Amino acid sequence: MMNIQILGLNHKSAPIEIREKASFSETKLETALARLKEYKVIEECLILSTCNRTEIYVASPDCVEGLDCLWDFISRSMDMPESQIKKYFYILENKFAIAHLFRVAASLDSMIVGETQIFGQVKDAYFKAREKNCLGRNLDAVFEEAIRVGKKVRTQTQIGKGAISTSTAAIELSRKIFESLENKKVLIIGAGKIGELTVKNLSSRGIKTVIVANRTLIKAQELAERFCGEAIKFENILDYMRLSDIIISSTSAPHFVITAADVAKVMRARNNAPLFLIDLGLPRNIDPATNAIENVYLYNIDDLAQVCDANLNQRRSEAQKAQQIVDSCVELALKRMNPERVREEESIIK
Amino acid sequence: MNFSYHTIFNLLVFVYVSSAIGYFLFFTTQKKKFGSLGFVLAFSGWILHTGLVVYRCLVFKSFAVSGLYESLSFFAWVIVLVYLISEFRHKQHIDGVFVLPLAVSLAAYASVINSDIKPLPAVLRSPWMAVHVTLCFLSYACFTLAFCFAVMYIWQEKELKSRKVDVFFFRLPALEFLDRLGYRAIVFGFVFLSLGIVSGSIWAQKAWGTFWSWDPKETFSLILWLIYLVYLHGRLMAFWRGKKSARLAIIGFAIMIFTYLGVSFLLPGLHSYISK
Repeated sequence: MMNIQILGLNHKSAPIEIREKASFSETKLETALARLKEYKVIEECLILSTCNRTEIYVASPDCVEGLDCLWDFISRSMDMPESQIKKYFYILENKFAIAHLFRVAASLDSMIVGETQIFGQVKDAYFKAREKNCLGRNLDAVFEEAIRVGKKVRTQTQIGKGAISTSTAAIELSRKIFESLENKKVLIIGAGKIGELTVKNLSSRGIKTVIVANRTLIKAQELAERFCGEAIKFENILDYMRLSDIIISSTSAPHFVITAADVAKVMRARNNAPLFLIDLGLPRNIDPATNAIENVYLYNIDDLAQVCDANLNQRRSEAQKAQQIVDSCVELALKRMNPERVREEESIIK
Repeated sequence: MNFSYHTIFNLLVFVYVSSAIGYFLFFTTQKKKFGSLGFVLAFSGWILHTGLVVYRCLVFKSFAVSGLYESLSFFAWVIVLVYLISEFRHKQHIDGVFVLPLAVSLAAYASVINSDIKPLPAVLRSPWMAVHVTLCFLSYACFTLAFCFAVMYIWQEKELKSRKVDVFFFRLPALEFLDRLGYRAIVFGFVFLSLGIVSGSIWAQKAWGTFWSWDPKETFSLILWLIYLVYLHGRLMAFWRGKKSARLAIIGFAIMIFTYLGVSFLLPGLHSYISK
């Protein structure tokens, strides 16, 4: 009779200092798996280590012994006594372990519900363990199923849809205005951090031409170089606005850098081609009245945050649907496995 | 024989309704398979519809689009044809959500009115009939498509301007796309309408001895033609795009519907479908 157990911690159970100590980098992971396999009672093992969670999955014939080994393993690798770290970990067995893994793979247990990275991380952990011959038929079956569940949730719900960060929201919006970003130009005013992040995201989505304007030209040149773009003088902004389709402004100027009259003039010069203005400045850089001009779309930080909020709400309601899918999959998985082997018992020791 | 024709026509309405439901499900769930289902159903419906149109023509022994019944059915047939071509080209299911219900209402309207076969007046038994009517309905179908893109444009634009995203935001395509396709549909529609008017006046010259008789339908067709001329002019010379263009496309559509149906019922003339 084989038991599946998890010893793990995540962003809810442990602070970052502890999570850092418990995490396994890619190089450490291989030796850790090898060390786990050395315990006689552990027949199958797998380590899932991300920046928000570290979870050790094992299959062993004896629950109590298996758990002892897990504690021994983790306290050694963290180099801390078991008594000090015990409170940060959760222990899950059999049915609860499977349900937990499915939730993780479905991105329901993530800090940002619906984020897609975790699915890939679960897959990677599975392939790594398989490559190192750490899996037997129990964990193998459970992880195969978990990957299926993760896929199912992503295709059957909208849990991963909708931007939830300022910079991705900006991209999502720009894709609702422009058919394709490939032949579009972006002008960035002010070489700030958020502006840079947004441009980075945009260029990863196909934007080729990046123009940077800054009060100090050197800074503009630095940023432009990173995106193979062009640095321009601050005074020439208006000339370049005519050529740009997306303008991101993040200066700390105390007054409007771009006025509605400027934009109206620019729109005439660009034959009313749509213009997307993103105002990341505080105080605001772009006169809010510009939004009233036809074919101009102005979003400031608050507007983008509002979009993110709406998306988060949407995700929450999708998460309920996802949970139902997970629940039904857990039941099916349990039925499929030998019901005697997977004993239904709860043992959450804290 | 006529009974079985009716049964098949009702089946056709049912297929179009199913296709519209498929597109609606695609719209709400965003699952590609429903969109493809809608497309396949619309296509099968269209094939069936083609059979029915041909059958009526054989019964009439001539191109048979004269009465209201025939014209509604033919209009639905052309709309679905133009829509299928458009969807096949741009590979998005989204406009089916709007176009198919329109085709359904035309076909359903046709299915409840009298479809008795009346002898065709001699003046309508002319090859010009087929050319003139087909061109006009092709232009109507293109304007209908442009109308659907315009509605989607205005909707999406409103959401983007108000900065409040809701369920429709994710479902509608990019503004640029809607604007471009709406424009393209109107270019085609305008060409067809121009040819339709020209072919009509040549035919009128042959049949009635005059190119233009200021019949209500002719007058409204001219108004329609001028509206879309303004649209194209604004587009090319003054760079109207987006909302302005979309609004004009919607106004054009309203006048088109009036030209098509309103004129027959309210301003009877040479082109009326209900001439007793």
